[in-house]
Amino acid sequence: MNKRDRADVVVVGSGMGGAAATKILAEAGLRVVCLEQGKWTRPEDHPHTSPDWEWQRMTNWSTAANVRQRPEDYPVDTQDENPLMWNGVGGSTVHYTATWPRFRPSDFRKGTEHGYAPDWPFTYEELAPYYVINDRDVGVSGWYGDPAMPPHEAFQTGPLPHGPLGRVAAKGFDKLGWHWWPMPCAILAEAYDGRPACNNCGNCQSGCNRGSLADMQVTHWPKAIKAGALLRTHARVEHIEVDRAGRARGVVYVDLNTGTRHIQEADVVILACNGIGTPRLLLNSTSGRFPRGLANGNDMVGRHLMHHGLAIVEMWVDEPLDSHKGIVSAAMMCAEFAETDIRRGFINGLTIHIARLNGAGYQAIGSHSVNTAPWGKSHHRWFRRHFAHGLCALIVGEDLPIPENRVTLSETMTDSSGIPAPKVRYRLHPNDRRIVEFGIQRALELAEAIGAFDVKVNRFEVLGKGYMPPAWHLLGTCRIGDDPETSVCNRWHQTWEVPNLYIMDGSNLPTSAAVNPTSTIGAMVVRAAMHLRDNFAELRRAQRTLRD
Amino acid sequence: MPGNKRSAKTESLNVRKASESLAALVDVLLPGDSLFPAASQTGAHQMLAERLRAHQGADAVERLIASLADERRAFADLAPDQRIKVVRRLERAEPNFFAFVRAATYFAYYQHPLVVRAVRRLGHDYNDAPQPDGYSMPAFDPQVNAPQHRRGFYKKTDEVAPVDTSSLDELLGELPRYPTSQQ
Repeated sequence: MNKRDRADVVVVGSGMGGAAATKILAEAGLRVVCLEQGKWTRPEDHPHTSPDWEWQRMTNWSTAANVRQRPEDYPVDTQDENPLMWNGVGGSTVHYTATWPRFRPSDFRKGTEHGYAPDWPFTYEELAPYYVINDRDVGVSGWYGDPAMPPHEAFQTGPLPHGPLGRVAAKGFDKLGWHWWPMPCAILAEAYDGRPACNNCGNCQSGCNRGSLADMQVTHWPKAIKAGALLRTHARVEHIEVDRAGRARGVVYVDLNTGTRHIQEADVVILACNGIGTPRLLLNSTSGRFPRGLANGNDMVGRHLMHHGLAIVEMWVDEPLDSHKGIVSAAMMCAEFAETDIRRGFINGLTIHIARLNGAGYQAIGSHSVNTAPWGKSHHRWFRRHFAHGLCALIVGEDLPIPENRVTLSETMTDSSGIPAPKVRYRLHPNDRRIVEFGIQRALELAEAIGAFDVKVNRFEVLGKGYMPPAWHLLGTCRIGDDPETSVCNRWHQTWEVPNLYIMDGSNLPTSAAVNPTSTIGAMVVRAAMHLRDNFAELRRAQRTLRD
Repeated sequence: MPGNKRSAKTESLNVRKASESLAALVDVLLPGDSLFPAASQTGAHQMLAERLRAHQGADAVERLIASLADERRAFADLAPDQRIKVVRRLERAEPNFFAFVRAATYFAYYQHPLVVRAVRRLGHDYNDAPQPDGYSMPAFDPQVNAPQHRRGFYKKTDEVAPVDTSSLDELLGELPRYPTSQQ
């Protein structure tokens, strides 16, 4: 073991959770060190100006670490999915779509509603002020007044351009008599906070080389660093050290540039490594006192993994839609089916998101629905008919927290530092399959309503494997709760077993709702980090976890 | 040495034949028409070879060439109809490998300036790359783009009440149950 260092707080991971927590605590004058196994992504590192930008999106900019295989990536041992994650400063906000809807009030009350998922330890109303704080840091575009959501503060900018694709989809929803609304996005329609407006380039999932999309590298980190936070890159955390009293002493990390191991000591340890990375780290932190891994005495760490049930229905119409222009996802959202209605044959609900199709190469290989252009003489005829004429309806269904859907440690795979890889098992529950199928049928009705001449459904079914989703959202594996027997953290994100160990990322979510989670992850972390900040003198020495 | 010379010459011929076969393959996949160039005119076969080696293994090009040979005749030497039959055979026999070949070829093709120009001639505003220019789109116009309906609802926190799930008992049977909170 080499270098020792001591901080008030050490944060592991620099994505939405780690960035927000670091910023809040550093601005309060605390000495905060954030350890990030990856590196900064410079504007010129993105593929946006290269002719082969689409190929890069499929390879070295793939959303799946197992495809990218960059030095800073770790493998994920799974046959069930292709999880999205980015191991670098900003975490997965480097290459997400920045779709920014809030959870709805009933999402926090599933225990009350049907009892097959827990109530959250707080309500929408308790979280709402923290959505506002985080939104101001991020910069959100949207249109105020959605009847399908509680009233809240206006967005930082107006909505992004809808283009012909938005008009056609809106007409379809209107014809069907369904709700639709411009989707809130953490992508700027106007300049805000020193960042420029989006110029509609259509390549959001290779990140944003302009800074218009809310990558934590451009939203939170400059402010956190200005406040005195230390962000240490190429620092891969191996395990958490505990002292004799069972409190976290700090973390041991590998300097990926030298291969040497160091300890970062701190009064408080915060994990923010996403719904796969955080349980992996806890499970790898075994000791005589914690033989099952840290904070895992109740065997809850790694369980209840959720991603959302997903299907994609694409449709092509005669009218040009400019499907290659504008943000990829999502122009608008239909929340007509978001609340539970038992008559549909399932609990929970879904939303339908209208998204775009990327460039010519991607549209030719079938865009998101694998409607691949034929090879041979008919190729160009197909291309003339389809290119820029399609739109995508994403079915985003709430998935239940299933104990068997879980992250454990791989017995066969390690990363380049010899640390066991996470092993992921995930199956969609039959209830959630019904949600997805219901959503597909509604999207097919939309296709009919807009007069589509071609429709393709992607159920993410792989021959011999079954449902194999891209797993864009990594949720639920270290959930918060009021019951120490069924959760990993209390309502302030403090782990039940280790009073100075906190978790602040997507793994905290007790339920997944039916929308993208990053705005909610940000709001939860702001809430938890502000509580930690306001009670730091007491909590840094805590011998017991707060019970309320 | 005469033997080495013969071997070098044979190797050179093989390399040339392999290149011709890859060019013929990409032209079967993406032949030209009145507007679009044939794939080999864009160098898609060279990019295909690079991408095969980078992502499918060092011997992937040789594997593809071998898969395309028909009764020991190189793909480049086959008649046009026979080439199509051979490609169909490969598509059936090795669907995953073929999908890679097709995707790599399509992406290589559509990134070429000649093809980008052809896409533009179809009437589309289409850039060589997403940046630096991006695309001009009319800003969101509330008069045109804002929803005019008042559809949509949500359950308020205090409106969330237990639903009768008895009709779904079989579906949900084995799942753990959670208590309601007291708030």
